[in-house]
Amino acid sequence: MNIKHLLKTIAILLAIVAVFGVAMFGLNFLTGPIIAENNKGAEFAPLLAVMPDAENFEEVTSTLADIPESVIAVYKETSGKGFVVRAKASTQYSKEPMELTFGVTADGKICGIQLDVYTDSIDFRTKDANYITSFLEKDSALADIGTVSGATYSSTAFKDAVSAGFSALISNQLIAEGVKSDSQILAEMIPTLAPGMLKLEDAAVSGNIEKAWKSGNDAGFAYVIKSGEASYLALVNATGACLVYDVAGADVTVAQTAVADEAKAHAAAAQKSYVDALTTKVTRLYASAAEITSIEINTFNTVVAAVSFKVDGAEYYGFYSRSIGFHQMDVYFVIDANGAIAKMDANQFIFDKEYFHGFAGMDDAAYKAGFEGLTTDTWNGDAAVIATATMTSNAVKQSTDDVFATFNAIKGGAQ
Amino acid sequence: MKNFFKTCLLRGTPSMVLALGAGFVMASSADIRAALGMGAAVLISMILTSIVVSAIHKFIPAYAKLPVYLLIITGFVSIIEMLMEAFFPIVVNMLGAHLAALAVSAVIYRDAEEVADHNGEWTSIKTALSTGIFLTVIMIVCALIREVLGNASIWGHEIAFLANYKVSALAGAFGGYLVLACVLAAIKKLTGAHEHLEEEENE
Amino acid sequence: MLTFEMILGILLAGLLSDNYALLHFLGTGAVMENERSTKQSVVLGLGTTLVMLITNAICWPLNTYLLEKVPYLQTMVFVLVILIVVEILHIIAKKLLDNYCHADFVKFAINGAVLGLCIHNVEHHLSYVETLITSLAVGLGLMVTMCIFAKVKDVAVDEEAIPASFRGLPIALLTAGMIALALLALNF
Repeated sequence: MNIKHLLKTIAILLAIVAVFGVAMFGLNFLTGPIIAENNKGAEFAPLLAVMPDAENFEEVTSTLADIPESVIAVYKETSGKGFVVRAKASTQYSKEPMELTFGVTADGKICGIQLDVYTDSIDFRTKDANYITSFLEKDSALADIGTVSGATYSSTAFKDAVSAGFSALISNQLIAEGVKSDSQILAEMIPTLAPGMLKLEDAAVSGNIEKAWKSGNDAGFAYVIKSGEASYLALVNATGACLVYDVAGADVTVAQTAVADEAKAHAAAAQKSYVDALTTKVTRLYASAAEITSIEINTFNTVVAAVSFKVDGAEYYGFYSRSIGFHQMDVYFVIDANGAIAKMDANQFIFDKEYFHGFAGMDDAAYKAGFEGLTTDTWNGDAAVIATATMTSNAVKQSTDDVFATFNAIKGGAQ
Repeated sequence: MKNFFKTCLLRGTPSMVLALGAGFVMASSADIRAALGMGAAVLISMILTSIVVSAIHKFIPAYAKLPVYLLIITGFVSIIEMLMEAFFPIVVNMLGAHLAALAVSAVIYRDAEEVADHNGEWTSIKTALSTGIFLTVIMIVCALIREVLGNASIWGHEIAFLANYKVSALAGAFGGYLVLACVLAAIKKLTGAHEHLEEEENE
Repeated sequence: MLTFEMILGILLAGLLSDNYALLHFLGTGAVMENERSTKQSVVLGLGTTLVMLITNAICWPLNTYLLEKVPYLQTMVFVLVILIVVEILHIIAKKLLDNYCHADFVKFAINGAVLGLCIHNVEHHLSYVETLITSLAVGLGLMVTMCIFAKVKDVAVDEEAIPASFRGLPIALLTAGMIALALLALNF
């Protein structure tokens, strides 16, 4: 082949391109719109899965205000059937954030929901196969949706992500807010009023008790109890103290003694007492401890038992706190009459050393000694830090906070 | 008729065709839908190319034959790709660049150069038909094995009782080689065609 | 900006873990039927690498600036570019090529890997520099694969020892599969 041949060849090639180009140009009038439609279909396929009767979608995320961070995108169904929200959520167990897609009809009910990405170490779908479908037909109140026992953090994160999606729609007046039932409003008050009741699980109900929860760390019980027309939230801590709240969040313990008595009776039958364990611990820490007396505490945190005792005439207080880090923690504090920590101990800090990659090991004795002498004023959380073990550190921190709070409550009550 | 198919499917098709076409045969044999789509694309583009080439080969100077024939194949492949993208988008998604790469596949070109270039339309079409059907059948057989055993599904539908026993390696690249090699060996064994094939290879 | 690690990564991917002919089935035919000597394989491989570099250098701007409105012409235009580039290279390097492998450079250089690479590069929206480095890597990968495959099939496979039905193409496929398996291991 020489230059002349090459030029001729190129001329023929261009002619062929021209012929086929014209043919394809014509064909494009037929296939172009279908291909465009198909591409759109692929983009919206996950949205169609949760809203099968949708005609077309339009992303409206950028037009909305105050979108929670966990909401990835919001799509509007163009014929007005509703909205589809894509959201993400993560827990300390997530390798990557979980991602979910759910459709909300124009009247504010979930019409379809699915998990798109899930990498948490515990799969709540195997713990409760119906958890995700239980969201169907629910409005923004998400009534009767609890958590999955054994996968509390992951299922809570999932539920929170759905709530965040709803709040994005509601705050932009796209749908109306669902009405929450009294019992639901009361249940949602538990984490605020009794922050120490961790890993709530459903418990058996009886009498006027509509709903009962047992805390997984044995820090007490929570009840929704009906009295007359109204429902009340009753909280009973590990030492049997009870508080009753109405739907508005007001403390009505004095007025509703019947409710309090029913809750106390129910709790007393099931509550595990930690006084004996604490007494044993105190005698081990102070061989000469005398006059060990159990104290009823009126705080609702992670402290499950408290005692007062005397060593050589000096007064001390012992506390047992059950916070949850990577595992259930058992933390003990002894505080002297002046409010300074005399001793700190725990059954075990790091339960599963292999879990912490790069965990350098810790000097338990030095760590415990770091707490000694701290008072409410000098405690700032630093003493609780264990390098590379954030969850355990946070649990110890919570225990310390709670013990100081309980101590102050006892001292305040005594004065 | 029986003879015709036997010739077309097995003996009449030199194993060279498969050596050259091994790439797209393996690329599209992980899923039956992809195999059928690719088969159809190969068959149609081969027949159309044969017709056009046998009609115009007299007007193309010898030095320009290769680029011209290749470009004609490309044209038909592009048109088929457009139609598939519109009506069978899932197949195009699965095949990706392989569908377009068919344009420069030596199989179709060889068919055009060696058969259509010297013969009339009918002979060319018959050869194209036999080669195309042969490749399609091979692809479908491989795809059946790879999709069912490797992916525990058929035509994209999951086979529940196989889900726990799937050999995912079969659906991957290595499975492509393994299954095609075994299928070819089985065909050779069953038909006693290997002597014949080897003869042609030695030519 | 491209760091040295990224460039090295692209090169290694093209050579090994992302090998076109063995793992992506693009250009497999060209490798499978290769029974040339190592020397010829290297010349053909280098030639193909050059073709890949030049075509991608042309196709990238064409696709970016001209083909946006007519995406359906993409394959045609790419093939046209490849054909013309190969023919021109052939004329320029006729002497050198003829000494080694006569005229089959043209047939060889037009394979699925070249076109597949052009399409891959524009579909993944690679930048111009990335496109060129990828082309170099894939081309060298093809060359190395050709050499290895021809050598392995020639030296390691004893046709006499294989069941009759597996002789020829089946054992070649299995050999390629084994090499592919070794390369696949690099992806983990």
